[in-house]
Amino acid sequence: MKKKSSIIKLSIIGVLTIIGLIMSFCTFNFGLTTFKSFGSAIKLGLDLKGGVYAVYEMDGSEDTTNLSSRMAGTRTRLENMLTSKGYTEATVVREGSTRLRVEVPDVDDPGNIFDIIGKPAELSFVLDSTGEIVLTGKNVLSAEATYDNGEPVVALSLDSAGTEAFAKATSENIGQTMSIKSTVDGDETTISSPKINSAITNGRAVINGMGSIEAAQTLADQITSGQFEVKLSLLESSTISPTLGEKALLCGIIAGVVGLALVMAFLIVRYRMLGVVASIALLLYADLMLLFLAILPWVQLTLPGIAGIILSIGMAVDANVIIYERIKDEFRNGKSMLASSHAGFKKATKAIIDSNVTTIIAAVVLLIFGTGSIQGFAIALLVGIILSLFTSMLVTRKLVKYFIAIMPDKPSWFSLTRSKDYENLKASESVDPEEVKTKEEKTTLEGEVAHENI
Amino acid sequence: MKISNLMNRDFKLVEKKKIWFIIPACIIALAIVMMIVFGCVTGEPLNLGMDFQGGYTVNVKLSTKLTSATSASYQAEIKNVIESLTDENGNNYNVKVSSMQEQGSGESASVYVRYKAPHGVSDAVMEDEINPAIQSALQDKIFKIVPTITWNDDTTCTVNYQNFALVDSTFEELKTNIQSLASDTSATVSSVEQVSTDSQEAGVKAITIKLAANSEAFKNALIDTVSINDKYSGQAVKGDIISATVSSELLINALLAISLAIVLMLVYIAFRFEVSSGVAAIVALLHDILTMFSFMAIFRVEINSTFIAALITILGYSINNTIIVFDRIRENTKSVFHKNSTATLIANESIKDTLVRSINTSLTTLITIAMVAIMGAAFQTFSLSVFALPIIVGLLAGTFSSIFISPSIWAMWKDRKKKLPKADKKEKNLKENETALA
Repeated sequence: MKKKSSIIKLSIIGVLTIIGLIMSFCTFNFGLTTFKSFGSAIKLGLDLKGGVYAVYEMDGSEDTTNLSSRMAGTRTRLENMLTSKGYTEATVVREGSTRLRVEVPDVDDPGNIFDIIGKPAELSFVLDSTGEIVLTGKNVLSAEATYDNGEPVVALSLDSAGTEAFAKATSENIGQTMSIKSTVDGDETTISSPKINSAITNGRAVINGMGSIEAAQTLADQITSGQFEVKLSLLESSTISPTLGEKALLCGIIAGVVGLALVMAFLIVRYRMLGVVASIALLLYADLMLLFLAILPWVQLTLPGIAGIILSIGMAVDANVIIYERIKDEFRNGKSMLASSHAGFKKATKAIIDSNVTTIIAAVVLLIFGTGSIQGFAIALLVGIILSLFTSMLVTRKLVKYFIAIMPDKPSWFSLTRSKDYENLKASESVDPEEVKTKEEKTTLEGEVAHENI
Repeated sequence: MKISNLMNRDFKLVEKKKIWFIIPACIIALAIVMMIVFGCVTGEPLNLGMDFQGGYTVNVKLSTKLTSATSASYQAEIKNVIESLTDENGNNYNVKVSSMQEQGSGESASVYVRYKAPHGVSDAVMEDEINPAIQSALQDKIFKIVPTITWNDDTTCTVNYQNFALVDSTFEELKTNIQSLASDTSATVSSVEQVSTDSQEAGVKAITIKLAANSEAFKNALIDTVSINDKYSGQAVKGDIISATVSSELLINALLAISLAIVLMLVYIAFRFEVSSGVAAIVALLHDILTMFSFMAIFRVEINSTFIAALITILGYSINNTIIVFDRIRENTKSVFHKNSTATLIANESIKDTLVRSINTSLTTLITIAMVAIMGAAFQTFSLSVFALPIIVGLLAGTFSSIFISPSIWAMWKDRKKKLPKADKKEKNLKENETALA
């Protein structure tokens, strides 16, 4: 009975793995809707897939004092802006003395780059009665789109000079109107002209009359761009092919598939049935990895990301190897197959947890404090380790149990052997085979109890 | 079989620790010597790539001629032109192309080339001499229309231009050039004529040259004379100096993040194991990272931002490897069989217990990363191989350090504490010297 249910459960896992593999690599069309395979849904970085680039040039009219440091400051701001929008793999480099080259991965339409960076807007708060400019975008520390009493607005927080000027202007002009104007590409538009109801002294200003949250977001981005130390205008933009060359992606895929196949072959030769278990677990791991890379936002796979995946595959295999070596040790010293597997898992758990937790600590630190491609590496590694823990500690454990239940009297199929000492001991004792069997069953039971307790 | 034979023998790895410490010390010393030598000769101790140093760009606007079919050959040609460029005295400038990308499509398609300045060449020299030279060399060689010449007999040949219509003025120019070539090479031209065929709708595709007297020199130089510089088919636009992709801010940030990660891992290991294990694990980690740097320094492999990724990959791998050994040490220390054992014995025992696992795991991880290196070489995508190589070195170093170095350090630390009260002063001094050396 146990054998039958094990076969059924094993078949279910097998079918799930195969379905996962199909979903990972094949794209289907269902009438009008298309199912994209996990593999093709993964967003790829500049180095593997290319994207779009744009070259911005400083406005000719701009004065050139401290140009170098201002360009560097603008570059940093642009980089931060792209990162905050999820383009962790985008690059910004200086070209010549007055240009910045921005490259954004996995975007097909160069026009989209404007949506990302936003056309820089110059912001000004003007008193209508006197025409005096109270604030400019330079006084803004941060601009964000949010809701105020259900209405989409842009909330600004001002620096100390701005706070002071704003407090003075609002307290002296209660009852008057103040216009908020933005200038994009030389076109000035008045966004709104609210009436000053009371003095605002907390350094917070709100721009209303936005209409929609999207419009608020666009303005917020434009204000942020307007704060750049250097005024930029677009020189050219277009698509760009992968940095690593057209064949890098294909190369990586082939290396991954062949590498995984070789690893599975090695494990099967070395551990036989246990190797088969590890191979199933590895395939399942690969399915899940592709799925998570495809669905998680902010994942952009690059060469460093691939390194993270390779490392996590290595650790997934490692967990299996540690467990199997423990099982072999236990069996060598005389336990039954099932008892050996329980004891093996139990003894391997501590080592696996400790090594994985240490790596998780590193991945989390790099994710929080790292920038750009280091974050990409950290995400891939983190997802990989969690999945490898799941497959090795849960899936492998169950699979080993089912396989042993199906083939309970074939230890050699699992590359399990008794030590010479044990064989000699058994021969010298020459005990009744029945007795040995009961003993083994007892250990099995104990093993199972221990297993339930974990 | 061999492994199991080894297992049955007495294992005395920790006792030979001096050897294990000397090997990496020699590698690192060699790397330092190489760095000093290269630092003095070329001013560059390490071979830093464009990601860290910046460089120059040139944009080769090929327009519609750049298609997926022609891309590879154009890129190879561009690379060749730039890297084989020489000055007036025939000395190679040693400019290295670091990347080529296709930019835009259709009419605006171009090849965007980034290249590194040669060692020790100043920005001014690049701007005034080398960059214009690169631009004009590309203009001359990439945008040239090179015809095929067929000799019917020794005195008649046909020059075929494919997909190129000769206008009258160009033909007259060619005629003059051929005449002057003939007079320079002691050959005599009797006629140069345009060949018109029905399939040609406009202009001429081929010309025939008839000679009264031919010469070897004329034959050899003809191809250069009849090649037409096609300025209108494209343009090499001199780009500019570009900054490093990895700004110093980014690099400092990365180093800080990595240092913080190491410290937190040390804390975790000290908490779960012992402080001594944590320190030994970090020493092993530093060993692995230094070995990778040494590899890059000794073999002058170009260091780019992907090397940072390789470093943190090994950071994760090395710690993982070391922890497995220390887990066994932790278990063996608690075991009743080792109540009175020295740390050295326990360390030996634990290395032995985990050896098969260490070898198998290293092999499987090596297989995956080696495939990346091999495929990179097979597909001529060498940046992949350059990325995989230091990881392979780090893997080997990580396996070595987890077996030979970190358990030895742990055992040294432990046994020193145990022996200290009994040991005489001489031995204590000796031990201290040893630790200082390590």
